[in-house]
Amino acid sequence: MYRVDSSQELQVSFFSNQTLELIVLPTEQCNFRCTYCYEKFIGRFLSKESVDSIKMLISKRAPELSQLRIGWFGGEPLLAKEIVYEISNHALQEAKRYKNLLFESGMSTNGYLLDLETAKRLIEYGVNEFQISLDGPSEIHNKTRVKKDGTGTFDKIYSNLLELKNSSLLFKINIRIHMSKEASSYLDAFVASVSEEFSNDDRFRIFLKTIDQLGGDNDEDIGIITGDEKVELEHRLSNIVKKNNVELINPGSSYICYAARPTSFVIRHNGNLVKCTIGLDDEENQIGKLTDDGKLEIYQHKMRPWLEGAVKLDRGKLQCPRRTLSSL
Amino acid sequence: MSTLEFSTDDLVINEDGRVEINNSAFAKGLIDHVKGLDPGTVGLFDNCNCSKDKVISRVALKGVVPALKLKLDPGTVGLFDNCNCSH
Repeated sequence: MYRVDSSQELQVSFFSNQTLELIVLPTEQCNFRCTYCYEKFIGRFLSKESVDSIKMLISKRAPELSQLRIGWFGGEPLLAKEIVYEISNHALQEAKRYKNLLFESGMSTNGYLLDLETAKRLIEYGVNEFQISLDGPSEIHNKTRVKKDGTGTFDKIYSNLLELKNSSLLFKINIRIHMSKEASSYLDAFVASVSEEFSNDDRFRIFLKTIDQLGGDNDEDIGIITGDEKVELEHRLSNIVKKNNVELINPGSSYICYAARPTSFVIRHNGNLVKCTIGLDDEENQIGKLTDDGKLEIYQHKMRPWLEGAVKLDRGKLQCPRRTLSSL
Repeated sequence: MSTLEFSTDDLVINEDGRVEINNSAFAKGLIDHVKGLDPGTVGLFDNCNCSKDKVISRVALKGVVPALKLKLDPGTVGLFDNCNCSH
């Protein structure tokens, strides 16, 4: 048998037309004003025309797809949950119609509006993976992940998590714990507490992530953890998670960004297409527009730089194409 | 890592979000490489969040060869933005 180099097989997989990944921002408004956030909170909601267009695109592609992935992002996507329900339900119905089509969907949400009733309905429509971030214990979290009126959010998010834990719903939740200078001295105890709380429940996973400067107004004030300090803290916290029998998400150096995949598209609330959910307004990120008839108008010259990682199997460009685009 | 030689200029993303490869030499080389494919050779990446064991993949090589079916481990996917640069 001719043995295929796995890297070539991987390369081929990038260009498969049986997969389609849409990351949809149904709104870029948010009920939070996290102090380190880079978003501008512009505009309102995805228009009815754009919602219909996305549904048209899904229906058109469904017969040939083996995998349709829809990621919900924002802003806070649950501020636009009727849109999430409508598009998800449409995708789910198409997946029922075409037996070869696997529909998978997840949401990056701040968790504040993810009550049991909302979660039930989302899961019913196939949205069953969630990523929810905590900045540390309440005394830290409530200083940085604040609502628009400046009040804290920890208790509500945590009670939603506990309510989901106590339910019989089937889902996966990534609890993303942010590491920052401000939080570092609290994190050992906090990670231990969260790990104990969600131990032996494989619906919950923990992901450790540093806070980074991503272009927000307060970037200068963010206490970033880097270098050896980051490595040591991450190592120590990882061991706490593992000791408590909770799955630790560790993308490591093998991570491939969605933005590096040729068949992955981010659809903004205004119908603009970008590749990366950071730098939403960066010129290099503007790769096209969703038309009202279920089509993607792609600006090929803008798209191509994002595909270099997949073409060359360049690990750096696969991990973060944005970082390696020269003009960014 | 060895790669199949082509360039981003050989790629077009069409209005349905499909990838079109407009390089016949690459297309033919691709076919040669994937004949007798052993799915077990995949395993470079381990960040899969998928529940499906395998994805049947097909590369449409525009105007050159019929669509090709491959068995691939979906080890390259991840719903969330957990890279080192994003929030």
